[in-house]
Amino acid sequence: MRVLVIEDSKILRESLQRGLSCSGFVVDVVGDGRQGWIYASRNDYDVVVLDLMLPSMDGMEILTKLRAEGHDCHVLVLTARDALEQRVAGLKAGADDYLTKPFEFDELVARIEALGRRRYARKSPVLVEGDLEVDQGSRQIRYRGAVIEVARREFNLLRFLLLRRGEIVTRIEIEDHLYNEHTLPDSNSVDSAICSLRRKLRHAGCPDVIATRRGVGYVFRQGEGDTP
Amino acid sequence: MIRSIRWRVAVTTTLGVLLVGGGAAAAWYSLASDILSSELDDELDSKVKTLATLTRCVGDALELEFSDELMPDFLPGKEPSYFQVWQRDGAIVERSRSLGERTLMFPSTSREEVAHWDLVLPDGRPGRAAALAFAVTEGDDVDAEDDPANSAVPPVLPVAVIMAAKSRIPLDSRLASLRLSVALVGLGLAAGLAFVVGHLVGRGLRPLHRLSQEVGALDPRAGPGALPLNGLPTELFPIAHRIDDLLARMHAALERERRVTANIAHELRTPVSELQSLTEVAIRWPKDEQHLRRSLVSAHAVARRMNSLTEAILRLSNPEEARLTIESERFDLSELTRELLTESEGKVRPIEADLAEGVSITSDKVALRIILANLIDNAREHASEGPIVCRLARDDDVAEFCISNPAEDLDEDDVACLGERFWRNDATRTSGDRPHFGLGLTIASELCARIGAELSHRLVSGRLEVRVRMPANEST
Repeated sequence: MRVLVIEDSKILRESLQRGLSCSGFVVDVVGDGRQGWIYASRNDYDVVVLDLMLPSMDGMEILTKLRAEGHDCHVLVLTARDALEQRVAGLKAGADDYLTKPFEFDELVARIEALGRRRYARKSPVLVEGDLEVDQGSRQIRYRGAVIEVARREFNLLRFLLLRRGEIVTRIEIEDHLYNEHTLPDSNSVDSAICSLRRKLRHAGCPDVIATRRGVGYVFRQGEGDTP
Repeated sequence: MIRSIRWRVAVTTTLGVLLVGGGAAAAWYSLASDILSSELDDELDSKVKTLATLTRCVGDALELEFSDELMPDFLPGKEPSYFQVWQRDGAIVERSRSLGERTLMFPSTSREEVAHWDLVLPDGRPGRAAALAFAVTEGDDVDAEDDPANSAVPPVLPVAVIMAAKSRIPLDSRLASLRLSVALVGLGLAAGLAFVVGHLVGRGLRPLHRLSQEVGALDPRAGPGALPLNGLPTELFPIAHRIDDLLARMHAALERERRVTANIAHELRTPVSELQSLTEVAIRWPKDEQHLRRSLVSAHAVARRMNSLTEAILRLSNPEEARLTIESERFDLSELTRELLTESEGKVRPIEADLAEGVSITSDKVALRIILANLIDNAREHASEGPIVCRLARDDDVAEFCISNPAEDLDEDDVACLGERFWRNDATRTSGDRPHFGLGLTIASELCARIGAELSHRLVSGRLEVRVRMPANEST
């Protein structure tokens, strides 16, 4: 899941980047409002974690502009301001969730995951396709109950394809989802990740659920999770 | 005690009108009573004088040439009148037939005029009497020889006293009717007046009542303009305007409090949040020793910042400080300012100084040092590109310290908030190495108030000017 953190406190910014990355998210961080607006409006993030009191452009302005321009990324407001009026104002302006500082890290992660599921209209944290399960909570892939060890990026890749099962997902979309702004993937990084994932699934006995659409991208085949 | 304006105005107006009306009614009654009474007296006068003209002196005796047909009311009857004639010595000359065997009491009267008085008639009725003492004229049987005109010595005319009396029951009855009618009219007037006055006063006070309802219905969070001022009577407009003005000030004060509270919360929660996240990430996902060390260094910096913040808040809120005695001493403000500018010379931004010499003041030197150091530091830390200028001048008996710096990132709204606790604009909000809590100007302002100096700030052509004015000693 790709997350943007817009937070002016350097310490908090760095903590969030490390903590969320270690929790399996692909994270971009920025320290001022104007830069945050540029990142949020030009990239497709699953969740934007937005502080309100920002230099150069405050959080409410960013939120209002995002919604006015039709961006439907989920926004979690993370702020020290906890007054009722401010919470209501934030939610009415288009925020999807509101968390006040100081906060528990686990709660932040849980809320980001919940918003991410919502993006794909999924309520359950476990994505199931036949005998294949992708557990977003424990970050495990299981086939017939047996855990398949995969790298973090491979997990994110399978999860992304499964969330958009039946749809062709382009390489660009996969790259945007798997890598942050500061990471420049190689031209065949996606193919390499697909190849590695297929191998591990096959090794676990899972049929080939990922189909290639030449020149376009990849698709998770629906109804293909069962053993033939 | 009646507190209602409506009731008080209605009651006092009604009572006032009734008092005036009552006085007028009493005067009118008195006049009417006099007129009616004088009518009876005139009637009695007429009878007495008529009887006097009918009294003759015949020889040594007095005779009354009276005829019943002339005055039938003196005849015996149901409600007769009475008369009696006496000689001067009290001997009865003649009585009316209505008296019968009874007599009237001899009146004391002078010859000049008819006397009137009330009495009880012989038949027990209340009556009115008139009496006259007069000189009797001689009768027709007087010989020419006895004609006083032929005598060298004019004869002495005998004096008779005549009294007539009649019932005053009709008069009393008329007066009673008059009194009753006055009373009834008065009561009706009072009742009608009370109703009309009450109604009119109520109508007149309707705008006040409406205003009272509107004020009562005001939302406590209402801002200025919540009270409609259009169409109010002239007398109520100042009150409503003042209430509206007070609402505006209360609204501004509440907004300011809200902002301060929100800012305080932000300032307090942010470092706590930083510490919590920093330590949690370091504990759960330790990278290497270097990363742990960096985390500890950051945590230490946050803790120091929190300490500075705590000290600043305590300094502002410590009630003991308010009771500290200001230690006044005479000193040279020019020297102090120069010293502070020199102390801070090593810092990044230079300051252009224009200091008048020998500006002597009597004040708390320590407090003033804190104030001026704060202002100088603020200017250095927050100025935009451009010169920072510090001036010290003396104008008669006032010393003025002024520091101005370019402030492109400030607008008029920001300047209005500068003195609020924990207010910071965008550029200073980021934590960084040097903590800015937005308390410097607040502390300076409060210290100025304690030492009797006046601190003000304004934005002039993109530059922020902060001034401190205080009384100066006489030039030596």
